[in-house]
Amino acid sequence: MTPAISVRGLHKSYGDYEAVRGIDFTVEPGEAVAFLGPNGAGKTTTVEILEGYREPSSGTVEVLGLSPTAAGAQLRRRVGIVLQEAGFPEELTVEELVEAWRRFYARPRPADEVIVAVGLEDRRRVRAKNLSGGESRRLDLALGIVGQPEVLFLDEPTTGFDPSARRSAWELIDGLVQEGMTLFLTTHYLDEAQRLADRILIIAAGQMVAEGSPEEIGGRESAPGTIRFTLPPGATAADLPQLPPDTTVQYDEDQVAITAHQLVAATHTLTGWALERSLDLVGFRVERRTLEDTYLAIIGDTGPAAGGVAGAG
Amino acid sequence: MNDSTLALTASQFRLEQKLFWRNRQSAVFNFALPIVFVVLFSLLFQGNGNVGSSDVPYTAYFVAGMIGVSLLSATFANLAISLVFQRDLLVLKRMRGTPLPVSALFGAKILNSVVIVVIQVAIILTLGRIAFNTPLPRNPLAFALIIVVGIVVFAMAGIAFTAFIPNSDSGPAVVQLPFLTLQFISGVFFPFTSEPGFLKTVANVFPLRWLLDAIRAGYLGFDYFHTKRVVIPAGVGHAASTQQVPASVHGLHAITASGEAYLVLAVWFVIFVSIARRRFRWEKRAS
Repeated sequence: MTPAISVRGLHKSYGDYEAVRGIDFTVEPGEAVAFLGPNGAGKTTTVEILEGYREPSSGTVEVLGLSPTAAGAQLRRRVGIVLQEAGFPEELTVEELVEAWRRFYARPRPADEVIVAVGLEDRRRVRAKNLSGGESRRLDLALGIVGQPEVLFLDEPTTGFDPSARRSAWELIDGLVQEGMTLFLTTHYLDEAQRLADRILIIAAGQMVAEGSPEEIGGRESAPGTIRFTLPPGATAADLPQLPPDTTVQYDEDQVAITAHQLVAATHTLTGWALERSLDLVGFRVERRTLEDTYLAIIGDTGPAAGGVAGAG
Repeated sequence: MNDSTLALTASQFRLEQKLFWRNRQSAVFNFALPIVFVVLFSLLFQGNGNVGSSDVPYTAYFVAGMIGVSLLSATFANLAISLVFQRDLLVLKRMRGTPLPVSALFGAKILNSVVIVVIQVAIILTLGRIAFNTPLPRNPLAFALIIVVGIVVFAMAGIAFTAFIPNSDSGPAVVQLPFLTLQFISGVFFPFTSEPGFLKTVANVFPLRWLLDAIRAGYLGFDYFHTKRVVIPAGVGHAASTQQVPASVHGLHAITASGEAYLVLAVWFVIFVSIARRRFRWEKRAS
């Protein structure tokens, strides 16, 4: 089967500045991939090459088996693009814009369905210039999906959303992926990547630095977790039970943080010990290493660019 | 151009019309400007009698010039400024990401210009007729043809010219330079034949002068391309002089007499298309 997206040896330079320095990846049809990286890492450059806005300096890029720059309308009939930033013809209403966009595609979704899906049903006769930031972003999303795209590119789609709007947008996008659409998501929100993506790609300083499922990426699966609780009154460090090997215990006053590779075994030992002695472990919680911790650890390893140096994003 | 491109051009055109009429201020100014100019200049020059020694009243000469200026403003200036505005707002970038063909996008904008120009021409002709007794087009076919050809050529000029406008703040200022300069040297306000040789040469290179004289061939029925040198004998209050006098043209001759104008416009059209193809930008420059 033709991959939805195929990138081989992609380089992109602007003058002396090398924004993308040889990256390779493939996205299979129906897959949802999140593309992460600090500002200036080459994310937007890569996405805009996939969308056909820029020519690669070298390397090959194919979307649905076609070259994004050469295929033109033939490809754009089959993809949806939600840019990081784009304007509307401001005097047109939500409804008029969705209707106008429907005419561009062979099998568009019903306008009403799309407007309701993005939660703009009460704003359909409002002109684009009078929409709030979050509403404009939802209209961006509506125009991106109205053509029933096979591949949807989302560049930071939920910036400016309130939590409930974000949740509905995620449900909408997830629903489209369940129906078989391929998703290529660029985002700064790790919870968004975790919620929507089957696979995460991390780019830093123009190179791929990690790839994997949200659960496994950067060795998250095998990374140690942390157990925290408050030491019960009267108990001392010496009272704690014998914990599995590879476990470290840290104290901050009466706050205990136990870092364990064998998280389940350590939890079992601790709760058993507390039950036996009828101790209440106030604030007891078990924390896996978060995607954010993993992400920061990965990009932290990649040198100065991780801080977000200048250059096209 | 296939059926779906035509259908998309038509639906885009309806959108462009909505956008145009909804932007009240711009719509009002678009139509107020030629009215004010025609009234103002006709009043100022009413007493000037005829152009040169011809029997063309100055007001009629000027009405033809105003039609040309309206066309230039509704196509070249309007499109250049609005496209740069849409480019900076990243509206064009968004459109570029859809399957809408470029020909449909620009075709719709050009059709929108046609509507504006037709209304402006109707206003100018009516106003001239009622208030200053200027004629209606003497050669309607030749007049209509040059208006349509002029719209297409100068709309393309506007699209191409966006390549030289850095951003939307500077749009109106950058457009003013060719817009005003060409108006002054191409014979909108004063007969082209009375200009110094150097300016004439410059004006001859650019397309506006040719548009204006082709409009005059249609509107006034005089061939300003092939004027004849006529010796005016000395009379009361003036010495003997020679003047370039246009011959009158009728029917299809008004079109054939404008052959060189169509040729020059065609050459410029090709130049504008090639600039647009190479240099047109769909998004603002990275800051």
